[in-house]
Amino acid sequence: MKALEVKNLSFKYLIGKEKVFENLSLSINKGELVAIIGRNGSGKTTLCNLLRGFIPHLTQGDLEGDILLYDDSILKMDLSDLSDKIGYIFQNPFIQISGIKETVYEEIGFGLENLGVPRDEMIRRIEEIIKLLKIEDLKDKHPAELSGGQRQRVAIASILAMDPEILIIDEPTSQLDPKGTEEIFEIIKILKEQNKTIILVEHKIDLIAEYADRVILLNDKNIVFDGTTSEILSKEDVMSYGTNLPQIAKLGIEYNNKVEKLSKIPSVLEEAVEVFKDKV
Amino acid sequence: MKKGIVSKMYPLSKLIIALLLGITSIVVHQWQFGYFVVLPVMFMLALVDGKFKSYSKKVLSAMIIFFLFIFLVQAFFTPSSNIIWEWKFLKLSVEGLDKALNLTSTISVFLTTLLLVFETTNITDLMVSLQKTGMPNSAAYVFLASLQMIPEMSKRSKVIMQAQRARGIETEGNMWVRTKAFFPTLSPLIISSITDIGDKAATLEARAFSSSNPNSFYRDLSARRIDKILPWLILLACVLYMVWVFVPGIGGM
Repeated sequence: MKALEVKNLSFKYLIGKEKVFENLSLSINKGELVAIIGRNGSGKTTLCNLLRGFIPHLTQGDLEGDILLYDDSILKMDLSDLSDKIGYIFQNPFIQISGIKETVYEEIGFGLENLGVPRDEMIRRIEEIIKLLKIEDLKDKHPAELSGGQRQRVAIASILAMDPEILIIDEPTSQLDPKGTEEIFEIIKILKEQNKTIILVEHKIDLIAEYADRVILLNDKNIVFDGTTSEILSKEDVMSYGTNLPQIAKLGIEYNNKVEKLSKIPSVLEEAVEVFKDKV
Repeated sequence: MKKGIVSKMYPLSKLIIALLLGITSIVVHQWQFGYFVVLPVMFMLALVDGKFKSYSKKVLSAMIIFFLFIFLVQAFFTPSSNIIWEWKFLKLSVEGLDKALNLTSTISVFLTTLLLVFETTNITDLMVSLQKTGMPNSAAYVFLASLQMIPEMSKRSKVIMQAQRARGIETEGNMWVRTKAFFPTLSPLIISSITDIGDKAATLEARAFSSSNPNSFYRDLSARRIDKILPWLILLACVLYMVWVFVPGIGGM
């Protein structure tokens, strides 16, 4: 079942000279974890904003085509009706706190208050999310006094608490250390197991290789590659679009070109073990 | 920490009582009301609530600035013929003294009551109690956000200052140097605040800010019976006081 569908989309920002997208089509199935990759300025965040309806509802521009959420046009929907359906976690953790709450605990509850979730249910969900994200130590702190990484976790918690069925996550780990990054991906995995549809923008390609079902590569106003993770992340061409390949895939490609043909280019560790085990 | 009796009161009730007293003092126009009734009662309440020290500090510092000026101007520069005391160009008249006392008394009622309300009330609680009576979400947000924005902005201005210093703009020294540094530090602050607004709107939207559902509240505030009755009692007292003042034959005036 298609959760989100983009039909022949062309878009230009009001102040932009060039179009960001030209005739882009895309569909995302329910329960899929789709990673969007591409060089800086290739439109990853713009695409996310379009899928969430921030464009054109908050930021205007010239838009053609249509974007559908379960067959309803997002362009015609009210923005307020989308907030409990599509969660959006922003790139910049510093602007994501509400700015009116005194503790992290209440900060996480802000979205739930706006949705009118009853108090008991609100507390249950906040507690659950705090446990899931392991931020018990932050819950009584003032949101404005957190570090970048802590804010990022709180931002993620605040959106997850609202329990949206589709999640758009724009570089969730930009401020996190390797351990924090790993933890966020573990949470993304749990969300996937809960059958949530996840759209993830991320530069850490090794983690994408490990967790994503499908990879979309954006370049020059359109999608260049769209396919399963192992299929896309083993293509040598990917690197010519300003993105990277997992270390393992690079090794595979080098080996394939210079030593001997491989049955398959691996993109994650287990595949590599499989491919190389009879070579050594 | 145990809350004092004033702190425990429902925020909205406190605010209503404060405003009732303020309006009464405007209407009755008797300086004794402010100085002999409201002022001592407020200080006593602050004492009972355990907030006497910080409260009296605030009240006194506000009073000294306000009052001295208003009192002197009103007392000495109200034209009148009933001069009690005179020194060069300063003439203290009966009317002037009366006017000065009345005006400062009214201000002191507003000042002492509202300061006590804010001293004993968490501002978020106050907003929640106002939202529950139908104040729009966005109004509460604007109020609370601007309170939190001030420390945030000053933090940011320090960062900008350091960044500009790193690029060779001198920000310390004499008056002229500081004035010159004013624009390169202030303009990035203002511009970045403006550009953040768009993003901020989107982040609030992500948290369902414009949702049409009625809000629920994490803070569990409810008015006790006394919180509901007390404003009415005070209103009754105020009305009786006004009757006593204005109806000839009952009151002393």
